[in-house]
Amino acid sequence: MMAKPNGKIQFKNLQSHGVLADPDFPKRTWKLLKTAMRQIHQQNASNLSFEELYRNGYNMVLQKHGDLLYNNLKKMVDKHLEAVAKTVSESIDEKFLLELNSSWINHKTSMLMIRDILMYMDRNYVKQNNLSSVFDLGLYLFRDNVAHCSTIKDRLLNTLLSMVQKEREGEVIDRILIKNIVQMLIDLGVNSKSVYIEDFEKPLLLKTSSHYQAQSQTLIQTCSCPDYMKKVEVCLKEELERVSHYLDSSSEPKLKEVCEKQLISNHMRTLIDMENSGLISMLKDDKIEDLKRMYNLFSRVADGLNLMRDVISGYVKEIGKGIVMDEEKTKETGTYFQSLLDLKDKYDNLLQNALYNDKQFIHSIQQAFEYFINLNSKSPEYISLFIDEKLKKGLKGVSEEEVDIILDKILMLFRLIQEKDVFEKYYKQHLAKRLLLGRSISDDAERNMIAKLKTECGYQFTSKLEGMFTDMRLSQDTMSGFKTYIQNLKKALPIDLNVHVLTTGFWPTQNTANCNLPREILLCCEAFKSYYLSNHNGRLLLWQTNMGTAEIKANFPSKSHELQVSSYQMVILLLFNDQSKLTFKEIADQTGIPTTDLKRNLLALTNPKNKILERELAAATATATATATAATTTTTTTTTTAGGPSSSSTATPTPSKSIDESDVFIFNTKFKSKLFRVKVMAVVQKETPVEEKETRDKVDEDRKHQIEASIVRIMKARKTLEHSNLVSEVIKQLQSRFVPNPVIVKKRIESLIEREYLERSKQDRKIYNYMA
Amino acid sequence: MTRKYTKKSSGSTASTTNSTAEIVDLTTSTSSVGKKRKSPDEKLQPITKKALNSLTPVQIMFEKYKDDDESIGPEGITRFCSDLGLPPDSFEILILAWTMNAVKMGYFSKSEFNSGFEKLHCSDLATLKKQLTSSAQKLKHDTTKFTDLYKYAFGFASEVESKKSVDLATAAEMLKLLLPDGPHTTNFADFLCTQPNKSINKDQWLCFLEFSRTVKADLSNYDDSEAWPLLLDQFSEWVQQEKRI
Repeated sequence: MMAKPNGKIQFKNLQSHGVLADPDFPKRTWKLLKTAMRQIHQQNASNLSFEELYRNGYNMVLQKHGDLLYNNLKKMVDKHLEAVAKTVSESIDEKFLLELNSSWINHKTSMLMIRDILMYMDRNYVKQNNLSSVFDLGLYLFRDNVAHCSTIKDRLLNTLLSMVQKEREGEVIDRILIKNIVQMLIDLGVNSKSVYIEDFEKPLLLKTSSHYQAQSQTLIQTCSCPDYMKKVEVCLKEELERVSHYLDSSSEPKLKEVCEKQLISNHMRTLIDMENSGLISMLKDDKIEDLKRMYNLFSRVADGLNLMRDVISGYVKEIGKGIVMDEEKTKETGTYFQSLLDLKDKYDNLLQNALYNDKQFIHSIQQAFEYFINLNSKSPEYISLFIDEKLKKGLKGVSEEEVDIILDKILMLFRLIQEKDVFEKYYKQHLAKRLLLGRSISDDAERNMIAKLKTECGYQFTSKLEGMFTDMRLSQDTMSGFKTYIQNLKKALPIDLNVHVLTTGFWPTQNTANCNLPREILLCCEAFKSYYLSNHNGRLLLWQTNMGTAEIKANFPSKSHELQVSSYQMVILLLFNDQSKLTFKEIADQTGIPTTDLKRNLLALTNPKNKILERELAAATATATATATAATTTTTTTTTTAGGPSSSSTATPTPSKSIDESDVFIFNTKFKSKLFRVKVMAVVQKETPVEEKETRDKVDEDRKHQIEASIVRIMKARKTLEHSNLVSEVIKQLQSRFVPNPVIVKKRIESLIEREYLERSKQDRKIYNYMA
Repeated sequence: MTRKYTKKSSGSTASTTNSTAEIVDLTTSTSSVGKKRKSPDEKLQPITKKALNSLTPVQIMFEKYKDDDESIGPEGITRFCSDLGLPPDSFEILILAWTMNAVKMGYFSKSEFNSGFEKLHCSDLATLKKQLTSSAQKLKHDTTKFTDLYKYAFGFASEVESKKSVDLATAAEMLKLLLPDGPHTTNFADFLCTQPNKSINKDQWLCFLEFSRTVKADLSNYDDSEAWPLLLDQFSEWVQQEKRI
């Protein structure tokens, strides 16, 4: 019966022209068809002849009875469906959906058969009159009579919703059944999904929304933030499964949006701020997994990540500020910086493992670091001190790769420092000390650091630092030359003199007054000077006695020791060869050492650990022989050495931390030490407020020149430029070294106007012209 | 207002119009005008007139007030001013100095004196006073010319050789004279007295004129990112601090 029509049948049809005149023909034929359709509706189609029925339908249409056929069909199906609706609506609870589903399946089958029979009508009459095809007509009729039947429509919706709800609550439901019903709704929309959307999706979304609203309220009050998030993850997963199991895929984004809104968006702030389990405590306790979860969840909704980012960056700022402003920590430069490094490590780890290295997060955390690191104006100094410490001893026994890692980390923080020029000043000072006192542990590490700074800040930044290394190398050559020269003279010098020749400008030289060197040393110095100047004509050598070191042999009554001291300390000690007791003033007068330095060095010599000098009472003798050190200056340099005998004496102790100008000093004959070589450590030279100010002033002065140079450079190229553009260009140019204050830039501009390098344009005060 | 005034001025006497023209000429290129002037007028006039009358009235006047052969000094100027009936520190006298292109406060050299009278086309004190008073009136409405006068006043007030700076107290007095009705003059003069620097430079001086012209009395349209000299930034801050608005 399902056989398709073929040419033979059509041929037969052509023969039936003879019945054209029969006036009863339409009625009769319809009756036939109607009976057949009844059979079909009763699933009793097996006895029917498709061929015959098709021919009947064909003839009806051919004889212009299409409208009759179409309308009658509609009436008949209509009537049939009314009955179906009645049966469906009478079915009891659980059977309802099943009943509906089976009537739907039956209806579809019937309509397919009917369509086949009336194929000819579909192709001609329906097309010509722009009507719905037979099958679509069946869908519409089903929709209106069954799906939208007043006794079914609401019941259907409620049943569906309650099943979804049951599933949300953990019950197992007949997913296939729902899927079929949902598919029915989709089919009933014919070419659109309007029926599905209107009858089911919209109410479902509403219901979902209110369901999760209520659920999230309960959860948020009872769960901690991580627990809540875990539950949300589960809910979201389930909803997605739901879609794939029985909803139309077009519902997925809508459903997701509703759930995310209710579960995440509406509670973001609460979640973040949750006490003891919110974002801040996750950060505190390094809850990587939870943070990752939060990132994943928040990334689903608008503004979620922004909010999270703001809170993290605010927290980092706060923590960093705590470290930077902590009086205790800032005293200990090592811990200060270590804490910052640790913090950096922590957040790098976090970014990598929880935040997927999100660029915006990286950026905002970096900004937070930049913010607080520059809060403390001493940060540049501390970074340099930290590196100093590392390069002096901190890197002992550490492999090259590890050194590299440590230096890189330091550099990451260095990058954030705005006042790089201040850092340079300190780095120079510290490097000078390391080089001159031979404190540096590894030349490679030093060079590595310089190379890194060079990549970071450019050639200019490190050229002077590199010059310092060159000076050191040249000094070695010079010294070996000097030694040969002395040997050739066949006139041995009383002491070994080692000189570092330092180029002025590369080194942080201070114009301190020179101390009075002992005669023996002066002799050596002169010898060196004549040697050096014979090789380098026209240079000026100035001795920097404040930077040298000396080794002296001291004969104590118990034992003799070799003392490693600074040049100043040597000069002081040698005084005690001639006198056993000296007042502060006498020492100051005879040595010519500046008061602050003298106090510092006396403090080191009277330090309880290495008490070489005794304050007040007593007498002492000591002998000292020494070799020593270096210092520098304009085009050249110097060193000092000391030697000579000294005497010892007895002593009585006196406490007190600082040196008073009325103190009297005596050589401590009772000095004892297990070691033969005794290192007298210089008292740690933390900058005094005065020195600090000096460094600051120097920096400010340098900046003035740099700003002016930059203004002139820019104006020379541009000839004329508007004020704000000039200021921003200057800032841009200088950023790698420091961030100039616009006010200071303005001041420099005015100064240049006054000195007639620039003028204000006659038309507009805000525009400057360059005056060649 | 301005228009009305211009009309009036064009209707006034020929000599006034003429003198206005002179002023314009003078200010556009001060130095060269002075030189030019010397050749045709000063040489011709004195020679012919000297022959007739030995001395011109202007020369007689100069002889009367001079302190030495070449100039009238502070004392002579005081006498000159009192004879003229104007205080030495008046706006009119400043205009006179400007017309003469006098280099230094308190001194009129012979050539400055002569050229000034010539430019004003007068040879007696009464006419001079009239000329000066009317110039003073006109200048108040002629911003271009006033700007020239204002620029000139800086060099005139400067006591240093380079003419690059003016002592603060002098600057304050000069501003009161030049801009007696300026919205910021009194405050600024007071402010200058509080400053640690001793002098004001030309850039600051010139900018103050524009500042007075464009910035409202309550400083509401002042913008410190607009390239005003730092001194004016500080001034606006000071005004707010002292609650002078």
